[in-house]
Amino acid sequence: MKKLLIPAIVIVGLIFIFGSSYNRFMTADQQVQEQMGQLQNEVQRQSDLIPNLVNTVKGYATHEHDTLTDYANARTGETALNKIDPRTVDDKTLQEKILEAQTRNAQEIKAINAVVEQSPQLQANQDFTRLMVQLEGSQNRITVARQRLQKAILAYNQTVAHFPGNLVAGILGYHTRVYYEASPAAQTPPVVDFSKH
Amino acid sequence: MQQLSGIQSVFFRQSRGLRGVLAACIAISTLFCVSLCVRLPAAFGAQVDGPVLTQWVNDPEQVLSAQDAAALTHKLYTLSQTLPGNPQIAIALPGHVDDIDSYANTAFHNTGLGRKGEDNGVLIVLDIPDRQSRIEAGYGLEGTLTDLQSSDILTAAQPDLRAGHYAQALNGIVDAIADLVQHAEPVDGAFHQAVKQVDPSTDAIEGIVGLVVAVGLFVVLPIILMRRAKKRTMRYPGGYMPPEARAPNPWWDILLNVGLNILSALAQGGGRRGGGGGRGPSDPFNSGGGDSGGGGARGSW
Repeated sequence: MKKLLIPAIVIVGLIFIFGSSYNRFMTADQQVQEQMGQLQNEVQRQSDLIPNLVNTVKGYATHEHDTLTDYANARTGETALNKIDPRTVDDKTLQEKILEAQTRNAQEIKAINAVVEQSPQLQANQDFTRLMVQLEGSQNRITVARQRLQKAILAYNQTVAHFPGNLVAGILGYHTRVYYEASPAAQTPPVVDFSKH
Repeated sequence: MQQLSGIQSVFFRQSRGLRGVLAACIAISTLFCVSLCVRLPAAFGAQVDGPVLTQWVNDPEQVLSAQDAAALTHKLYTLSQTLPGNPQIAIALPGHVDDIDSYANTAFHNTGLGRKGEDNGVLIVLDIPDRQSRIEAGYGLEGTLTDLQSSDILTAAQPDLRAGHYAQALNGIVDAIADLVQHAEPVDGAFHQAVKQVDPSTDAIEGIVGLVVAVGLFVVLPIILMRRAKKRTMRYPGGYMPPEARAPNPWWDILLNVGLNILSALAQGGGRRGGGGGRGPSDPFNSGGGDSGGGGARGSW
């Protein structure tokens, strides 16, 4: 009986360490998934907003009219970013899709800004100013979501890489994640602020 | 003499076994303690980057007069007690900030405006040197106070802000927000997109409780049990023990169960801090762990 006691205690201790680490990995992993989902939603929200803006500014556009039409056509039939389940695709693929959407949004916003710069009369268009307020809000949400995703990935990686998590992370199938880095092309240009005009 | 050496032999064998048990317990608890100690400094030393609001009206530059600040404080506290859902509206006049959006979101997040899970906080920021304003709405109020409504409220405050009537402008902004909240449709809490963050202070408390319970279970309890076993061995030499002495003490079961339940709860990442609005005029500001995701609007004058 006594001979079994020591292995039993050791096993209970190991189970506790495994269980505790597993729970921490799960929590950190869920945070990353949650933040990734949030970023997907925010980028999609921006993508949904842009066609309305394009339609509003098209009438004022001269040089950019064709560019804006091309962008609008390119969107037809594409899968909404927030419909992708992060659990079904790997981090890299999902991040590429988010980056792709962000890059396209950035290009469109640049084209819209170009129209705004050339057409001061747009300021009087109520629909346009309201859409720009929403676009600005959307940009700010994306910035926050991206920062929080980076923090969540950092916290996850620390949980996985630090003692005692690193002893059992590999066995439980948890590995460090890649950080979400937005390329310069995907950096959304600032929205023209009408209130300063 | 022979009987005495028999007792010694039994005791020696038992104490060897018990020493082994004790060594294993100490080894496990040491490992556990080391793992906690690795986490604890991070939890305690976790410094909050960026601003943290400590009052309803945060005016380090003393832009507002004492009377105006007191009146606004009273108004915000009263609104937190009377408006539906008890939202928490706070004001910050930090002076110059590089990026008002980032400042507002960081201050909101670090302070935890509104109740956790409901995220019903609102932060009004005025950067007077740069003539910029921002309303940051918590996740739970994004439907009630949309970006457009925030923008309209800030636009309506522009004349007062341009004239330098900051208290009047802030009163107008607060009244407009309160009016929207007052007339808002009740929102189901389940739809709030509360983003849960790992709370370092909770982590530290969990660590300390876990440490105490682990030491109690794996060090103190075995020592007590060993002493009891030693006493029994001395009292009943030869290995025989009457049934009444063998009967388990129910208190040990209760103690062991409580300890294991606490450990189990801690291992599952148990309780989170709750919170709410202010507790009363003597301690008016007590943030409750709410969060925002960048909702609201920015303006300038």
